[in-house]
Amino acid sequence: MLREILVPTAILGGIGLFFGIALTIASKVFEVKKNEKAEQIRQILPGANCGACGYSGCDLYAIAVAEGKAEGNLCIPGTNTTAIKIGEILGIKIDTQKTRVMRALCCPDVGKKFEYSGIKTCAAANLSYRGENSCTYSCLGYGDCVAVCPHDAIMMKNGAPVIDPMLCTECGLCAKACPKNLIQYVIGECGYFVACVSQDSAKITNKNCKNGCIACKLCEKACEDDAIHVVNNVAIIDYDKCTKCGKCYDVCPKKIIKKFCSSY
Amino acid sequence: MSGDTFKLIIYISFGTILMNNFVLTNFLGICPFLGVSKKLNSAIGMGLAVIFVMTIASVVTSLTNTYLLIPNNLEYLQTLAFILVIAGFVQFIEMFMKKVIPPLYKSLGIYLPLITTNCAVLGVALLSVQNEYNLWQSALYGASAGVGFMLATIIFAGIRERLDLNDVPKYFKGLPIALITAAFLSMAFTGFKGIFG
Repeated sequence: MLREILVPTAILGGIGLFFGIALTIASKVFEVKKNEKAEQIRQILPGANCGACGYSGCDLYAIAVAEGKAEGNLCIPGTNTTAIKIGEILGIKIDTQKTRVMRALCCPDVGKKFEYSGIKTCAAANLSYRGENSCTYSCLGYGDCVAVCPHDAIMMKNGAPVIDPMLCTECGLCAKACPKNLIQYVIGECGYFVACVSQDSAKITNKNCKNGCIACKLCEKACEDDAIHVVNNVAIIDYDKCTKCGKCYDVCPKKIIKKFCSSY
Repeated sequence: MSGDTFKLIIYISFGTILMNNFVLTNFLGICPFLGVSKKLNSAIGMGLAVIFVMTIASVVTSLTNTYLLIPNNLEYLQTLAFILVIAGFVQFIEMFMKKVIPPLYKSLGIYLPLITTNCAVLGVALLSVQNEYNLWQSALYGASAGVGFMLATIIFAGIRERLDLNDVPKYFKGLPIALITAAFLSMAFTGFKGIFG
């Protein structure tokens, strides 16, 4: 009777003990040394694994920074506070990035060339004759940016994405997802941006869309700081020179130069 | 090699991969089958990890059974002992790989702990004991079961990747349509039964 209990217990216990001891020894023998600084940096990073730094996940970015392979200011959701803390750990000074805001540069008011009935994503729609909209630069409105946003910061409104600056961490995933390159960084906390990227001639743009830049150059003439220029039929603001006086905003006949502020 | 051995090899390998496919006929390992089949890449990684773990599990459990359990008349402890041995051994392999072959660890590493105590892995060990296979036969059985799992998962992942792009009715989106597809796939695999008469 006692034997029937003791033998199985001894054998199972023996197997357990054997593996316990073997694993303890193995964990010492096969120990992989971890970089302490990488561990510390990983603690500071937000842990959103958004990939905005260019590395697949916070873990790999922390290792890259600790080994000196990457700059310390690449973490966009972590903002400048993270960059400063990383600098403290590594004992070096890290250049902090300028404040910037993500904006969708299109408010389409366009007609359709044809009815598109394929797969309902921007990437797929863009493959068939660059989308159904008459303006080939315009927002397709299927919301690839909405789907990719890890922070639920984007909503579709009147056929174009609207980004909530309070939720947006400027990770830039939406910018990468947009096949038309419509979502871009605009520099500064508040200021102005041109909500059109159409490089078609004024005549075609005007025919296609009611909210398109017609390259009239009124903004270029109104600007006193040489900060806005019409290049390839579309106005572009040079944020290094812009003083945010708002003269271009007042003068634009199409009202496509818009105000933005990072707080609303 | 005699004709009988060759026949047995064909019987075990093809029989396990196609006719008695672990996922689609025996319904073992459904959890990783549904969980990791969203993308083809992860399906391949998981498949390789399953082949690896199943082969090793069959070998170690076969050894445990013949040299430890049977001599002491402890066959009733098989389930318990097998879980212990498989889990311990896979842990050990994981550490070994992390140190010696880091690239392999990076590609398989995340999947190994996921399947250590999966029912399919334990099922391989128990079924090969039930079928009274010896050491090399159970190793072959384990490897074929893994290949069968990989085949099913890769086919299913391919289907699901296309399924994502289709206009599925709202209430069938996601898992429901995946389960229906899995049922069709399972029915298709029963067509292999009767190959060996």
